[in-house]
Amino acid sequence: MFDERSPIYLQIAGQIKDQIVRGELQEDEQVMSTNQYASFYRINPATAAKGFQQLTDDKILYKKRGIGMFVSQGARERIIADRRERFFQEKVDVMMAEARAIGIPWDELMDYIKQREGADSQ
Amino acid sequence: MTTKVFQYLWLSYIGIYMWFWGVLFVLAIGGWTLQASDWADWLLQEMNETGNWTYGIWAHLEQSPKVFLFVTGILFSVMVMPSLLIYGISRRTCFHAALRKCITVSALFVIIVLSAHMLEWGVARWLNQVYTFRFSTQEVWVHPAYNGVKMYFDMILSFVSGWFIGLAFYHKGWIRGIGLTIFGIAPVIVIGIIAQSEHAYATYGTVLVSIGLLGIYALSLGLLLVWTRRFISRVAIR
Amino acid sequence: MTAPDITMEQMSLKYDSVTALEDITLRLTGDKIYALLGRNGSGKTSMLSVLSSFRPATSGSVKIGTEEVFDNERATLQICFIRDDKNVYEEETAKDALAFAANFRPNWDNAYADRLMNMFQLPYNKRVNTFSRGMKSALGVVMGLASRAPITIFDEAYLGMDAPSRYQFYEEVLRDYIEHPRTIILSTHLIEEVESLFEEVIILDQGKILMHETLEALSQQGVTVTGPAEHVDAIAQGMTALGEKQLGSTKSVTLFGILSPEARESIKQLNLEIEPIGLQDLFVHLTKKQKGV
Repeated sequence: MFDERSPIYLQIAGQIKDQIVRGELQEDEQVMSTNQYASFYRINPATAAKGFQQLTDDKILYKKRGIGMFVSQGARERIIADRRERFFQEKVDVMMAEARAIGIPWDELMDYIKQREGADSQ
Repeated sequence: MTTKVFQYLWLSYIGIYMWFWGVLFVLAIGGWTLQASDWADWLLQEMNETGNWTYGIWAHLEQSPKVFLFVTGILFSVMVMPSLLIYGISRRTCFHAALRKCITVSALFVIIVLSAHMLEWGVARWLNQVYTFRFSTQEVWVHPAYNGVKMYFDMILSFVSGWFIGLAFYHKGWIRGIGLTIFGIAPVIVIGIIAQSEHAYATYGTVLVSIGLLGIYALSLGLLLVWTRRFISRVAIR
Repeated sequence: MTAPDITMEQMSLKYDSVTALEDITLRLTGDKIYALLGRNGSGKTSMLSVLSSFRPATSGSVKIGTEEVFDNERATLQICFIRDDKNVYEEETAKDALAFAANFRPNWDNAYADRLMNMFQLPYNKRVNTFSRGMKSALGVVMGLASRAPITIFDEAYLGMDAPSRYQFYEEVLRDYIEHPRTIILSTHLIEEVESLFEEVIILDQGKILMHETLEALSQQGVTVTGPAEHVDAIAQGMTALGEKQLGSTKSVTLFGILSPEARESIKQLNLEIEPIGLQDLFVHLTKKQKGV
């Protein structure tokens, strides 16, 4: 269910962010509670709460006392901006390093990307 | 909590008591039937050479409740007590509830035995048989009525010595348990010897021997109970 | 209502001449799920027995809230200690055992007990001593969960239960904990199966507390760094190495402690592989290291 490499609470935070980016969670929409998350993923509620804590610290969620957690205004934009910032370093650099290691020329790589782009947009 | 545990101990044992006394009464009735028929000569021999019921079946069955209480005492230590303690009931509560149970159940058993004697006596009278109350150690006592008192102490002591011996094994392990068993059964043996000693009876007289026996009951019960309480207070659940 | 804290201070336990627990000082705050880990003979069951007033400590104190535990019903009635065996009087039926618990457990929930009995498919009217090992354990789990005791302890309570029943057990622990928060202590050897349930982890080794941390803190403290031997050695320098393996010029070191930002930076620069180690591996490394020292 979770990959072993990063702490579970970060993975939970990541999943909620994914849902926001994909538009499954709208601004000011209520998010499932920590307890619901905990029982769904079979984890300790404190662990789930830590993921939520991180999201409130990053101002992606906000808390309404006694009601629950909600998606902040502009959360989607903030997540996207953050991911764009890290995209080249985390995804492209890694891809290029691998391509270099196994000897795929840049032209071939670029051709492939253009071809996929064409196929996807059809 | 003591009262709650005390009640539980009664409720959970009622079935076993009914079973036990049921068996005893069946035995008693069986003995009577045998006695009433001619083909039970050996039993008549046992009773009285003339065939008269000088003393009845209950003089023989009287020992059984004591053995029964002794066994339930052992089982209390090794089975009932641990299952009470694991539910968070304290050792103190366990001790007091068991003591109250022992005092009341002994009284009940004495009443049952005495009633059975009375019943037997009534039937014997009705059948025009010679019948005298006879208890296992009657001669020693200043008055037959004291037999009830002695029987009561015997019952309590039976349970307490079983309780103590079971606890000795449970708390101290097999080897020390065997050693402590000697202390557990010593009072019963000493009392048995004195109560049946013609010599003591002839030398000191019934009154002194009876008082002496009461003293031994009190002393040995006191010691065994103090010891039991001490063992219980530090006992570890296996 | 929050479960009371558990406080042990300089608690020791000796069996005749053998020291089972030495100088245990531990504070467990209420309403958390704790893991108690340790190798066989490390003193887990002894510690839990003292905590539950199953046996007296030789010295030191064990309190629940402000109440000294030993032989004190104000404390002991709040504790339910489920062991791998002898949780009920086995001559009786499961039905009798449940009735007994209903009578003496202050927070007992009959409906919940029935639901669990159903879930584990346990018969009411059979004597417990005719049960299989797994069924006895499952009955223990029923007794433990349905007691809803503020402090509930399971000491290898899963013994003999098959994997599906064990997972039902874990799921039920979590579900009921969320609905009725209380302190739950799980002592287990099957660490990977339950790891995600824990909030805090206590590791016992040779009768002493080796570690008491939150799962989160603990899982950040173990990493395995793999790469060319000289680079790996450079990173490992000054840190506690729990184990190392070498294959040709590639070396892999398991480190305990939190990596410095500089170390993280150079791992990145040198393109070394870094992997967090799971609780189970960490436990194995930590307790192996201690043996024979």
